[in-house]
Amino acid sequence: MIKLSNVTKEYSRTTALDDISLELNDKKIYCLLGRNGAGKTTLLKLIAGHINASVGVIEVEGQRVDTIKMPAGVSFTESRASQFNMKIIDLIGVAKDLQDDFNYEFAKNMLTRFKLDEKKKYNQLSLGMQTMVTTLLSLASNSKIIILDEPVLGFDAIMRERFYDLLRESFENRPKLIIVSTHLIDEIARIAEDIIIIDKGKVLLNSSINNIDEMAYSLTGITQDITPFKNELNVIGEKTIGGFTSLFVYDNRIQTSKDVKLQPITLQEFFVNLVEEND
Amino acid sequence: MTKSFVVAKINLKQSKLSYLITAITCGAVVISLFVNFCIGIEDNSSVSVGNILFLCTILCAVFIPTLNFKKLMHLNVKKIDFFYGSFLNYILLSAILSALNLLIFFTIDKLLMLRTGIMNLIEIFGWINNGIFLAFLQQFAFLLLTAVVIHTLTALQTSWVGWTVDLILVAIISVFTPIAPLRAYLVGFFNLIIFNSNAFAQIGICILLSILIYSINLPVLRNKRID
Repeated sequence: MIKLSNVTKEYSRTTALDDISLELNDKKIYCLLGRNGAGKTTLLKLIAGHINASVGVIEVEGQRVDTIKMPAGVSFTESRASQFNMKIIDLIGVAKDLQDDFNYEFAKNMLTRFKLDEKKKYNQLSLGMQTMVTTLLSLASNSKIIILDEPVLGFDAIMRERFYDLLRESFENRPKLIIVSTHLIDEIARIAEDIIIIDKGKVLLNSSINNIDEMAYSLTGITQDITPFKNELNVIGEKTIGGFTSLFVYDNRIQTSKDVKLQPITLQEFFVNLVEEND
Repeated sequence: MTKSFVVAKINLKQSKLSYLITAITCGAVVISLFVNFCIGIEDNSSVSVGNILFLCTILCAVFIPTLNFKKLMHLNVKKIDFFYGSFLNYILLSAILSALNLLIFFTIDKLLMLRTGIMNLIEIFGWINNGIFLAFLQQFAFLLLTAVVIHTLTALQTSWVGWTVDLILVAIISVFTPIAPLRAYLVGFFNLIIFNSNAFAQIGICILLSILIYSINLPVLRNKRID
């Protein structure tokens, strides 16, 4: 559905994306991770046809992305998106007029579910509520590809849970390719199936969460017992405290002796180590 | 094309600021006329309310590419639909305002002319001498050109190209105006688009220029960021 071939994006003298090639073909929820300035928003905007690539080709559903026609079936939502200051129900009406497959009933149900007052004007809502409305409009669009850039920015814990429910329900209602960019790694890991990690404009990893669960782990033990594993395994991080060393590994699982403890690591630990190793 | 109509509809609905400023300005002119009438000043001349309405087109051409563009994009409107939709807006607005000005000219202005001096561009530019239908079209074409030029200039302001065009326009006006041979070119241009003795030529040139100038928006939109 989405194919990027050797894509580079430069802003004046800064290279935001550097020779990226990526293919996303399945209807599932992808999570895009990266530090601030890693190039996440640039990547998403390129796919949505909001900006041009400096070099390379981007295709969505076999069609080359054009920034004037913009790819059909792609809905891009960024946090803090400005909207017309009209009643929420009217905003939904406008979105319905603009999008052929817009699911008006789903949008109305979600308004009720998330206790959003449909008679309130957009500017009267809190930042979190505004983002929720914008996200809701995007999910109700029934586009084949939905891109959400930092959708939980400004959400409290309850709002975030509601958002994940919304995302899950929308996907179950009608499976589609959803890309979510976020910093709340472990939360999104509960619903995402695949993870894409980018850093310094390059794709570091594109893998399923199951695969990461399987292959990402830590080995902890006395430093001299741990040292031999450094050459045998793909070590992405290391921490030594006192005489003990922990190795963060992304590799096939191994049999260890009782002196070396193998433990699973969280997605956040995996991400931090992978990105720090790239520094 | 359907989406372009929806964009045009949204733009028309969401141009309340333009309508408000136009209404306030019209109100001020009406009050001024009323005061003059009450205190018996009859030799004072004033611009017709019909011409003040033209302000609406100018304001819409400023606010649509600045305020509405971003919001429409956040509703997942394609740039191409915005391009055609906005052009439809200007066609519609120019037609409505041209018709309204004619109506005001033949009713309110004619009444007021009995007591005070009223200036209406349709008379000053001589368009009314060509009959109502042609006057409507001449006015429509001129308004469309004005809206398109303002829309394009406003859209260009986000890049260095816009600032360069501004400088060139200022340079042309300030250099061409005082130098007689160059001034003749300016006069010639305005004769083509306003004071043309051939109404059909004036209409054709205005519409052709509108299309040409508006097409500049395609490359502008292609590179325009959506923040």
